Amino acid sequence: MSSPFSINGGACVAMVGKDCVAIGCDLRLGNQALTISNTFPKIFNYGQTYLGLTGLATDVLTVSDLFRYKVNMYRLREERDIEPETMANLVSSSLYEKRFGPYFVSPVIAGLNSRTGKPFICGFDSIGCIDFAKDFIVSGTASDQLFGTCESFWEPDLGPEELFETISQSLLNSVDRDALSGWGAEVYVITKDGVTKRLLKGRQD
Amino acid sequence: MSFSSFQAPSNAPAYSFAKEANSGFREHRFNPYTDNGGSILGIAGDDFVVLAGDTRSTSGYNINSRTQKKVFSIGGYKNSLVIATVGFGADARDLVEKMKRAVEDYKFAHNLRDMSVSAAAQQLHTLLYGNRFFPKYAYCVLGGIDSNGKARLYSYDPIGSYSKEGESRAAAGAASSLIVPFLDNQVEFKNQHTREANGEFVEKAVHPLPLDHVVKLVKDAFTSATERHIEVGDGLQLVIVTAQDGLSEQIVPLKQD
Amino acid sequence: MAHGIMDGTDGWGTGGCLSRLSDSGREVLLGITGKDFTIIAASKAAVRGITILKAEDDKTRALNQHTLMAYSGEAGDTVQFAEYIQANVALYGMRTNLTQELSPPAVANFVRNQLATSLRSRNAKHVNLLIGGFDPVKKTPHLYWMDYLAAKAEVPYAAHGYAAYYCLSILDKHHHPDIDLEKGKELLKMCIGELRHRMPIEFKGMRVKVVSAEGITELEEF
Repeated sequence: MSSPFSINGGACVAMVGKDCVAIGCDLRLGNQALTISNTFPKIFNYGQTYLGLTGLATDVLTVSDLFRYKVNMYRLREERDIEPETMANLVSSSLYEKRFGPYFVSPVIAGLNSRTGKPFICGFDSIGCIDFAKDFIVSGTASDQLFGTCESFWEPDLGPEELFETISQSLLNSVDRDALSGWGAEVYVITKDGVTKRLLKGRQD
Repeated sequence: MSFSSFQAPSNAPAYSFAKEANSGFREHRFNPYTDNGGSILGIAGDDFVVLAGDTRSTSGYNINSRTQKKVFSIGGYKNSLVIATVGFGADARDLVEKMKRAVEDYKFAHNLRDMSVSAAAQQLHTLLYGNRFFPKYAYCVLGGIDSNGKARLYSYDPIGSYSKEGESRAAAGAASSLIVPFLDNQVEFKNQHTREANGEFVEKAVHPLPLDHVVKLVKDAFTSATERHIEVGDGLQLVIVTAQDGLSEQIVPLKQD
Repeated sequence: MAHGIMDGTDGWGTGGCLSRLSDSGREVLLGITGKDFTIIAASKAAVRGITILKAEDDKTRALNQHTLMAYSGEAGDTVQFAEYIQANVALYGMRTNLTQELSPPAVANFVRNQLATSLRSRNAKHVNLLIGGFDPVKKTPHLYWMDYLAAKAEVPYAAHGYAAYYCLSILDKHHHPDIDLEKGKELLKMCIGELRHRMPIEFKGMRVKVVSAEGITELEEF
């Protein structure tokens, strides 16, 4: 249990719906088996694009800060928000830059393309290899459990409310079977009309 | 300290190009265990048990068989006792043979009375724990109908830990981490709530599921596990034991990739 | 994989209880926030191996009038890092010519950045921190938990080292964000009482400091 990916624990999942996407994460920060905080969100937004980061907590913070800086610079140069597809390439190249001394994070991106309105999700390994998925992306110490629940619960063309229920049940039931994840969760549902952020009450054990 | 004779195979595939641990000297030792992959699952209804397993047998990235069954009938009370096993195939098979023998012997030692599920459950524990210091590397799920016509389900670790109260559902094997949270939600209604008349939310009450519903859940669980786990697939062996109609088996095709 | 921080060794080749890094687990660091204050407490024993070198140690540094940092970890690194931070927070204040001092969250972010940069340098600093503060503008207390990897979390109460295993459950049960200073001190006494009673380590008592709107004051009653 001294892999940097499982010292602090945490889980993240993103899903595609009909003209909407959702992304959710747990709230635990731990040091091995000891829980330090139950208010440690792992999803960060950069305009309309959302980035979930699981793995080593220090790198979750470093990487989220790094992309805040990079996206702010992008915004100043381009005078527009970054698209999720562009963000994916930015994340990929930034992670690969540290090929031989990586950030120990497994990022997940979710967002809607602001021009086409097309839902976009993708995931990465810690050195930036992109996993484009049409259905869902999972990451973190509960990824096995998330693969099981998401594969069972997810179906194509879910509306925003159905998608919220699907991602929430997938996340909650998965983190309840992982000792290093849980302690509450938060879920974002992103549609063209706006973003809904919900805090989920979860088991505190 | 670990017992030197028991070295459960790690989940990680043994790459042919993986370097040996460099500890100054090399030791060649016979490893008596292999992990043959696959997954099993059991759900108990009110008066029926469903035991299921995929029919793939693997070693590393190789598929040894696409038709290897993991669920076995071992006779007993009303011929209702069934065992599902995963882990090391040879140990699993040996366990089932020994259980069959134990059930048969019981009959002749007890005036032709059939072994009950609870007795078989204790017998399986004794068998597994008897190998405490050279364990049978097999995870077992045991199902059957008791003398009241009610379903019983027990699950075991390789050294025989089990709960006498039994379970409502159990899963083991390569894809158990994928299947268990799904079962938590769909069989024990975890994280599901209903609204009371006064507007308050309460946890959804657990009740035994009907047979057709359970069969659907099992098929869903295995198609999902097949999709995301490389050691699971080929076929789904479904064994249904009911108090009225006894034993029946069906094989449902799963993806072969 | 052969990344240094994941191989489970302390880099000193001993791995035993006498390694210098394991001293940090025996140092007690506690923090409790309340309605209008933050308490920071640190054990008074300076330990090296099996020897207590000093019984009146102060493991804290004031970073500005309303921010206090407590530290534990590798012997040389701790004071060096704390005083480097102390000086640079002061320098940052002078350079930016701020009429107001940096807020506790700003200081905490600055400290994290320094520690995170150090982490990926040739000689990483092994320092665990609690940063307690009171924002005199917004009238809010702050407490940050940070480990030597620079993982930071804002928390209502926190502990480092083995003390965490004894104290966090007490604080889970009895803490409330609205408590006054008297209740805060009472909670701290419960924690210290438990440590004296159950923890088989001599830590020579606690040095306790309170950060409030008035600034940093040491409590002599502990």
